[in-house]
Amino acid sequence: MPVGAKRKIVRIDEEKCNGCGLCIPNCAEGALKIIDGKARLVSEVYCDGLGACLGHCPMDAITVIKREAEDFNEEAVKEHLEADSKEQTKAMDEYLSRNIKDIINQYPKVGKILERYNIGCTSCSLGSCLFKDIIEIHNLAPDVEVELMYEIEKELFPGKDIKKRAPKAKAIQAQGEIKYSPPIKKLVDEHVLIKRLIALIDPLCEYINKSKEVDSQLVLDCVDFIRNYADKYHHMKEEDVLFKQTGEGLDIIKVMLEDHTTGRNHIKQVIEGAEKKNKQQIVEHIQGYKELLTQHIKKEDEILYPWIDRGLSTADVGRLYEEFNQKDATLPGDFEKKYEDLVAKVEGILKKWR
Amino acid sequence: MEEFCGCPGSKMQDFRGKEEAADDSGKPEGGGLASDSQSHKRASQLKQWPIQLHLISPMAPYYQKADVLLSADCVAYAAGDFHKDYLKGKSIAIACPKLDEGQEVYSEKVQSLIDDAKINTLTVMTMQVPCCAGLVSIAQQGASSAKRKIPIKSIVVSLQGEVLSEEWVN
Ligand SMILES: [Fe+2]
Ligand SMILES: [Fe+2]
Repeated sequence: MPVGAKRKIVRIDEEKCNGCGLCIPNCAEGALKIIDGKARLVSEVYCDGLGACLGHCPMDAITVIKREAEDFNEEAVKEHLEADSKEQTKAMDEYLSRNIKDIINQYPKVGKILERYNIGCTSCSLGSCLFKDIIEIHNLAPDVEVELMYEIEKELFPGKDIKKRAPKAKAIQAQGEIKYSPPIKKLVDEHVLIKRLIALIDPLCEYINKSKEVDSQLVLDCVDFIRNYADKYHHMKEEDVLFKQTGEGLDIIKVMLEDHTTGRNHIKQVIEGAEKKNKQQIVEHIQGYKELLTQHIKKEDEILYPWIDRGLSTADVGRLYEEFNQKDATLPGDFEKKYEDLVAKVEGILKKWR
Repeated sequence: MEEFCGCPGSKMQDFRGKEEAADDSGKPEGGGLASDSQSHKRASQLKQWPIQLHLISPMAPYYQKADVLLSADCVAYAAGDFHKDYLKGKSIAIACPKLDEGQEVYSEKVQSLIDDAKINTLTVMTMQVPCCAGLVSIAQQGASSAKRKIPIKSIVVSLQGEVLSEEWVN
């Protein structure tokens, strides 16, 4: 190795260094690295001997000394920095393709960061989504995405000099009211009637609890709506058409399908309760259904549907719309009207009782 | 020999499937010849003839179940990448809602495209000038009298070819 003349260069006292890494981001040349728990000079040619790293060492382990060393080489630094940033991008990309739950298990603080951005991965029961899917699905504003990724990257690579990255280019930026394509809009509109029925569940429970004998007919009317409108008419379009389009293997879809199944089980219990005139059983499970569906619809309207919509081509939109229409055509013409009337009827009964 | 008595300019022709291989708007992959990418001509995405809304027949094979683009005449001149970004993969009809005559037929043609050709979607491209919006109304009128329902999208282009808005209108 060629050794140049005597010049200024940093010296790290191995005894004193505790490997905290605070010096690393302060070396603009990327000359320092934590190796085996100690800060080390990667190469003499990267160190300009200015000592910008000095003041950041809490252990006073770094000093600038004068000794024979290879000359500082700006070209080499440039190459080194470029290679370093490429390596960092690669390392981060690798995390992006990993399961978010694994990342959170390893770095619990990442879960906390996501929570602060209203992304509830920590509380998700299934949650084997990939990190990159989560970022994509939530469609954050570009500046918010940059901040979030920056915070997480710092957490994943402690002691690394992390720079903010440009956000991924998005076709359409979410702003204000969500605009849905016609087939997706159809599903969102169906949610509106379902939500109207869900809003009746609390008064219904009150009514059941306060009346001497259970009004089984009223409960069964609600069950009729839930089974035929919410489940058959609406969920079947999701399950047979929409989720087939996205692929059912996706975790977010698995969560939705699991919700549908849980809902069906609640309703089975409600029917059993109505038959046995068991107030407690009815109330417990119809409340369970209410809570489940409220969250479920919110997830679909605000996260799942807009995400699916962003991935649809014009031709996809046409195909989905046609398939939805074909599904609906298998039902009697007055189907929608019938269930709108049913909701209005239940609304009327409960209002009158109050 | 095929007998054709009408104007040869409006004789129906279907170019789909022709030169699909050369239909690559990108540069040649990898070690392509340098001269090749320099002289690379962008292939036309037009797969049919005729295109004027009066002249087209909804019965033509290229409209069946197609994604159709209904474009105002001026759009193709304003939008720099009209072929690559909007015409590609679609069948087209063009019209001018300001100057064309006999526009009553237009909404009937749209209706026939929806009901008879059973088109998948209709995308209406217009210029930002107010009178051009008439083409969207024509499309909506045709759609509302059709028995089938399909998604209709409206794309408005500025005089400089920028997309000002792109939204579903039904
Ligand atoms: Fe659902
Ligand atoms: Fe739903």
